Amino acid sequence: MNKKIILTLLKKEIVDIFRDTKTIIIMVIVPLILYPLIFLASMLLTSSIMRESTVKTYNVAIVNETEKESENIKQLLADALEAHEYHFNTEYINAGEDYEKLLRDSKYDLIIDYKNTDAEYPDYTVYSLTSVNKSSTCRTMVEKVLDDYSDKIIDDRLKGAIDNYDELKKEPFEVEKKDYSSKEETTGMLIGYIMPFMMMISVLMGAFTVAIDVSVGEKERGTLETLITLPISNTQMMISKFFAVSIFALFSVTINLCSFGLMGIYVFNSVKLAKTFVGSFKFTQFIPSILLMIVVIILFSMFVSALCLCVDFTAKSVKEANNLTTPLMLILMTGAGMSVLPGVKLNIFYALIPILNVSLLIKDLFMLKFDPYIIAVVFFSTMIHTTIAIFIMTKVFSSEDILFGEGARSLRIFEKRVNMKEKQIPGVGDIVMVFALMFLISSFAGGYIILKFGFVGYAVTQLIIFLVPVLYAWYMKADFKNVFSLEKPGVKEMVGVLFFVSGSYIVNTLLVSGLYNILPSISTDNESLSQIVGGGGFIPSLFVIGIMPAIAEEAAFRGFLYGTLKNKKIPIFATCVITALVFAAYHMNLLQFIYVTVMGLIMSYMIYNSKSIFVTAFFHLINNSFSVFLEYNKDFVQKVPFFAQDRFELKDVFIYLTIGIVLLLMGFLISDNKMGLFAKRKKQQN
Amino acid sequence: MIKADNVSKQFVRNIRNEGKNSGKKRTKEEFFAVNGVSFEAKAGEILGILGPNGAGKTTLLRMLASLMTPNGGSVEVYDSNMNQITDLVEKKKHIGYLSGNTKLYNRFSTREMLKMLSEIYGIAPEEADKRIKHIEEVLEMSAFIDNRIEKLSTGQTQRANIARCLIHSPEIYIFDEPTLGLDVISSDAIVNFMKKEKENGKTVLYSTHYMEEAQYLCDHIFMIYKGKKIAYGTPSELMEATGTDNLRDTFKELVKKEGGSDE
Repeated sequence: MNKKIILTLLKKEIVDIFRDTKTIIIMVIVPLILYPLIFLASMLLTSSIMRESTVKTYNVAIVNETEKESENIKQLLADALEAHEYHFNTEYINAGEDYEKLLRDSKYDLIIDYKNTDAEYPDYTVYSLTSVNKSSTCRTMVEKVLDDYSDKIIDDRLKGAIDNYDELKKEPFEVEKKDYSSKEETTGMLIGYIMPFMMMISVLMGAFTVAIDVSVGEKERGTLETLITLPISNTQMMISKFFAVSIFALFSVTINLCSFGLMGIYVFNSVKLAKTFVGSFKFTQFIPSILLMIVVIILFSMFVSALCLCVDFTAKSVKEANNLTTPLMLILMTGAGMSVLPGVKLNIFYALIPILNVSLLIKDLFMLKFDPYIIAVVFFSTMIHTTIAIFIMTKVFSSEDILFGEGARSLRIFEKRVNMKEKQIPGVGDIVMVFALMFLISSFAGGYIILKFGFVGYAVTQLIIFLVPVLYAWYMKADFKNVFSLEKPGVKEMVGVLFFVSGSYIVNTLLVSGLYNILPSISTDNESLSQIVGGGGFIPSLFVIGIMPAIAEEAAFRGFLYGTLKNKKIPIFATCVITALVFAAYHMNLLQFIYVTVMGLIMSYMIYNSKSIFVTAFFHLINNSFSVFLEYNKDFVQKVPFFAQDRFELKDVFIYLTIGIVLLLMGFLISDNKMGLFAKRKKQQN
Repeated sequence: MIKADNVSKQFVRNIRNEGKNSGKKRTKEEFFAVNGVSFEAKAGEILGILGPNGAGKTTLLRMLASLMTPNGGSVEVYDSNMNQITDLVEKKKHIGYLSGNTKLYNRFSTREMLKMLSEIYGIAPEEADKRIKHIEEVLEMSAFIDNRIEKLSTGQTQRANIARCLIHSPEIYIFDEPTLGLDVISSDAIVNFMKKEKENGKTVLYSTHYMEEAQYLCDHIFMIYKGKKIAYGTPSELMEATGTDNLRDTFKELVKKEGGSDE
């Protein structure tokens, strides 16, 4: 039912827009005509410039002082036709004429005067008007002619003076140029420079006209009030509008790509230049690039569509919406423009910046650079940006505000804190918001500080991870005791932690060594981890890696995330697994993802059993501090065979694994509230 | 049946103070467009909502139609079996709302629009075709039902708009100044329509500035001024209470008593 309504509404939006001739002209006809026109214009321009510089004849006046010298100059200029294809038309004039006037009246492009001295050759004076294009070009040509003349005279002099001139004149060495760039790479580079611009423009062209039409356009036409008399929810209305805008953005991209592609094929087949290397050119090399680009553009269209709708929903009228779109267009163009700047290369940091990451990725794809890790980060961060934009769009704007509100002036991102109800439980939407904020702030601010100040950055990141969920919960007046599980821990649970920590440490060490054997490349993850831990000194490391995560990460994961989910109608088992997986994914590398999942599951169990965050915080504290301790006490590590080893014999694996599991089981038996040793005794007493 | 229980709506107005001392400060002022209004309209009844411009009629009707949510109090909607409907979206299925602001999609024909609406209301396609055929006959729309709405005359558009309210055969009609700016023939068609629906046992709520029309049509009249109720009763009761012999004078008297100028 829900889907059916959205589909019906979507159908309505699409039919409505397709029947609007203005939109269709902008979206279909313009790109279809635009590219051929741009191409034609640039062809005409280049050919006319070429014609101008080669075929044009320049009028040069020679001040006639002595007949012999004037003849000499005339001959030099005439020879230039053969040597350089320079066309000069020479005339003689008398000395003492107003040279400037002659030049300004365009009678001549250049005047050459000479002064006979005692030397063998006269000195020359060249009069020109460099502010005039033709005169300027002519001067460059004449300079060249005179330079050649001078070179020839020097050559002749040397030839006469030195015996072995020809030998000396020989080039001492040769330079051979070999290029490894394939024709595909060269072409890809060209496309890579154009494509980000084209994509940005076509996505925006499709999205913004339609976004205005379905938002303030509907309001201005008066159909929005009709629409909200229908039994549809706010979200259904927003989502159908959002999909309509996204579809048209993609439609526009398709049209643009087709037009560009057809143009490309035409140019390829008609221009002589292209034909010379058509033989070895493999178009198939670009197929993965194009496919990946399509995926990223689909995501990006959704992002831009949500962005456009957010902007347009704040507007009061179509006119205002148009004005608000201008800065958006500038931002998009800047993003596309920055991608072609030298030195801006797609790295992890840029991969997180919306718009720029997409344009850089498109450029890289056509330059045939494929880095799966970076591509994944761009996809992932674009998805997060899109989610945030959609979330804001559906949560911030209610149909009532759009229809009856005062436009941007009545906009409120959040409910005022005063109006919040006491003791709220956050929703799934709040989780999305908190984690998106956390991700963005910590990767930008934290990432920047890590780059700049190194170790301090990790402390800042932890601070952000702590502050975002806690402040968010404070703002919405959440039920802190419930959400963050602020219960007094029991003695048996705290004792149980000691067994769990030692058990999980042994199991994880075995797991890591096992992973090393299967995936040797994973060891780089571990090395970078050791580097972080080893970089700060023992006490700071203990503080930043031991204590801070035990507070911050617990507040975010076992606190906000687990605390919200446990109040929802989700099986508790699923809640535990989700918390563990999100916690593992947050560590952002494969090695940690695997063993943190195991640890996360144990921690989920502990908070489920004890209902106290202090228990998992204690676990976290001991676990992390122990890692720091090992990093700074290599002597100790060497003495204990278990820690010193990288690989274990099968027999050892079996022994250690048994010890680990026994420890875990003991932890379970000591602390469990239903099946544990101490729980049973309690029950019997009752 | 529809019931308003102590319904209030508060708006925030931005005021620009450009006095000598205050400089260019923007202050926000909160005011009640509708303030603690209660009444009920039963099945088979026409309730007229009267009041001067800016009295809060439109806001009140929008809240009744679930287009706006009240800040205080509640709107209760009951179906024909007197079951209360609590879901906001579900409520709208029982209400047909029409105002000067409910424009139609110009690029659709009336038939296309009605088909789309019946899909949203969850009416089966065969049933929808039947209803559209019926509405086409009742409202005499066969001449223009397949034309795009942008090509219709004002009267034809208004009929198409009524057809829009009819498609889901609601139990409650809420009309905000439905006859405003229409010629005699078109407005008579609407008045007759409301009367007929009342006889069919439907609830009709409507606001108007035409006092003669209200006097002729309404079973009860609810008079609102500055967001508050100033009178409620049958037309004759109200006339009697103010000692006037027509509703136009009654209206003037009541507004004057509240310290306002008449329209």
